[in-house]
Amino acid sequence: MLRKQDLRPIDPYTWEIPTSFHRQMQVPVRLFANERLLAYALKDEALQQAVNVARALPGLVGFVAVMPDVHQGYGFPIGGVAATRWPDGAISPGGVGYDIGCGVRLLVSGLTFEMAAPHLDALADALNARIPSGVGRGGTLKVSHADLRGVCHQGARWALEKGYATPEDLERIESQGVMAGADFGKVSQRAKERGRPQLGTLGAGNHFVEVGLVEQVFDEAAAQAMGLREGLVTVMIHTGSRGFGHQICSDYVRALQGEPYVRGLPDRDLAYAPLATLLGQNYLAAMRCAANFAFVNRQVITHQARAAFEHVFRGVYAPEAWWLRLVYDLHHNTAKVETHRVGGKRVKVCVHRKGATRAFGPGHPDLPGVYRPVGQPVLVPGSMGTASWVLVGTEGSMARAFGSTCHGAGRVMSRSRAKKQVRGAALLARLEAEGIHVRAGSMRGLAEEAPSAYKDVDWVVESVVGAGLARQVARLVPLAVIKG
Amino acid sequence: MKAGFREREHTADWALEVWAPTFAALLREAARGVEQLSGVEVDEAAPPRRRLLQVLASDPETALIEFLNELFYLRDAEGWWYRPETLNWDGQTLRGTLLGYPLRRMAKEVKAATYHQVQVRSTAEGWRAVFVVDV
Repeated sequence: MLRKQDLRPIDPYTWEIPTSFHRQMQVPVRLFANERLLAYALKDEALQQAVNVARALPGLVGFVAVMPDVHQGYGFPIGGVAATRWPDGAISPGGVGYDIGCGVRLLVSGLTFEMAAPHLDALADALNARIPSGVGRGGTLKVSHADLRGVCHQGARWALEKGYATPEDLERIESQGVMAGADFGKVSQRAKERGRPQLGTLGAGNHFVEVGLVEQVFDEAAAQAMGLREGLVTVMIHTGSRGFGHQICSDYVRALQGEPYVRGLPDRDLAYAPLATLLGQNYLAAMRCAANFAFVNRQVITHQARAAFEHVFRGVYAPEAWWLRLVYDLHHNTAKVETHRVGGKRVKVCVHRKGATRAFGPGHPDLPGVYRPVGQPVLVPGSMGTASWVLVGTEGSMARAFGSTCHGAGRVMSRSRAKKQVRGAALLARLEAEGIHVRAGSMRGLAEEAPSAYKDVDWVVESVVGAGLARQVARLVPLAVIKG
Repeated sequence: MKAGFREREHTADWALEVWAPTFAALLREAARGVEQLSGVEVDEAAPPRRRLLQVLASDPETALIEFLNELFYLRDAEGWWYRPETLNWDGQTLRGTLLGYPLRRMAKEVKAATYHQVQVRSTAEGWRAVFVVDV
C-alpha cells in the first residue's frame, strides 16, 4: 500500500507518484483529488494498481491519470485513464473492464416537481414494470442474430431504424451513438448467445434508473444548451453492455493468458495485446461491438422510460411536458483512438478509460453543434439517494487528463462490510421517509449500494473542478430510484 | 479439511477465499460460494438438465476461473443455474458434468470471474484458493 509521502503535491488537487517510485514505471501516475479523497485513495490497492499499469502497459505516454472517485478494481483501478501510442502501443481488456461501454445518459422532461410530485409513486411503479432488470432471465425484446449484428455495426442508428430512438437522440450520444470499426465477426458465438436475451435490460449491482430534479444551475449558458432549468424533472440511466460485453472481455482476457509477452506481469488481469497484432485488433473490433450494444441498451431503456412517462402523464399534461428529451449519453468504460497534445506535440493514442468519463473541451469536432461552444456534457451520478452532477469538459481536461474526468462517487466500503453495517429494509424505509421512491430487486443488493459505501460526490466534483478537469453546470437530487 | 468459503474485503467486487480437501471439491465450493453470495434461487422441483463440461486449463488458476465463467455464460445464455456433479482436472483439461435447474431469481449478478490476484495452492491439508469476481 502506498503512503502519502510517496506522492508529490503539484497543486492542491494534483498529486504525482514519480517514476522513481518503482524502477519499472515508464510514466508517472497523477492523482486528481482533494486532501480528503487522497486519504481514501490511500486506503486500498487503487494507487498500487495504477503503479502496476504504469509498469506493465507498453507504449504509455504522458502519465497514468487517476480520478478522485478512484477505488480498487481488478488489474486496473476503477477511475483510471491510460493512453498508449498508436499504433505501436498496447491495448488491455482489463483497462476497459468487463462491463464494456458501461455509461450514463440523462434525459430531461418539461415537468416541474409540483407537476410530478402527486404521481411519483405511480411513475416508480410504471418504470419498474417496463424496464426489466434481466437478472437471470433476460428481457422482453426478441433479438435475432441479424438484429444483434445490426446493433453491433450500427449502434444507436439500429435503434432509430427499429423505432426506439429519434434523430435528435442520435445527435446527443457520444460519437453519435456508434463506435466505428466494430466487427461482429470478432465476437464469439458464446458472447452472442449471452447478449441476445439481455438487450434492453438494466442489470443489477450499481446500475439504476433514477428520476431526479434539477436542484441548482451553476452555468446558465451550458444548462440552457442542455435544456436544463432549476425545478425540472430528469431521468438518469446507468447501465452497460450486460452479458454481451462481459463475455467479450472474458474471452479476450483468457485468449491473452497464453501470450508470451504477458508472462511476469504484476497481475494477470493486466494482460494486453500490442495494438499492431491481430489479437489486439480483434479485441478492439469486438470491444467496439459491445460499446455499440451499450449505446443501444440505454436507448431501448430510454424507450421504455418514455413509455412509462406517457402511461402516467398522458391525459394529465400535454406531451411537451412529459416527453423525455435526451441531454447526453456517454461511456465510462471504453478504449478510444484519439489525438491529444503530449509534450507539446499532437499524438495519436489509444485512451483507456475505466471508470472515467470522456470530457472534451469546447470546440472539439466530435461534439454535436449544440455543445461545441460549451464543452461536452459529463454526467456524474452520486450514490443512491444523494446528489448527481452535470459538468462540462474543459481545455484543462484536454491538457491535463487526455480529455477525461471522473465518473461517479466511487466506492469506499466493501460490499461485505456494507451488508454488515446496513440493513436493506431500514435503508429503504429511510429513503422513503426522505421522499425518495425506491423499487429494488433485492434488499441485500440495496444494502450493498448504501450511500455510506460511497464517497461524497460533492467532494469528487470539487476535486475535478479544482483540478480544472471539468466545470459545474447543474446539481440534481433524486425523487425515485429503480434498481435491478 | 472440511470444505468452506468466506468473503474477503474488496472495495468494489467480491473476493472469496475457498478451501477443500481436493481440487474438485475446491471448484465445487467456489461455485457454491458464488451461488450463495448471488442469492441464486432455482426451481429444484423441475427436471434437471445435465451438461458435459470441458475446459482447457494448464494451471489450476485457469481451471478455477474458466470453470466459474462457464457457469456465468450458461446462466445468461440459457437462464439456468448449473451446479457441478462430477469434476476431474488432469493438468490440461477440466472435464465433468453439470446439473442445471431453471433460475427463478438472483439477488446479485456476477459479471465474470477475474484473473486479478487469483491464487490456488495445494497444502498438506488440501487445497486453498482466493479469487475476485466482478459484480
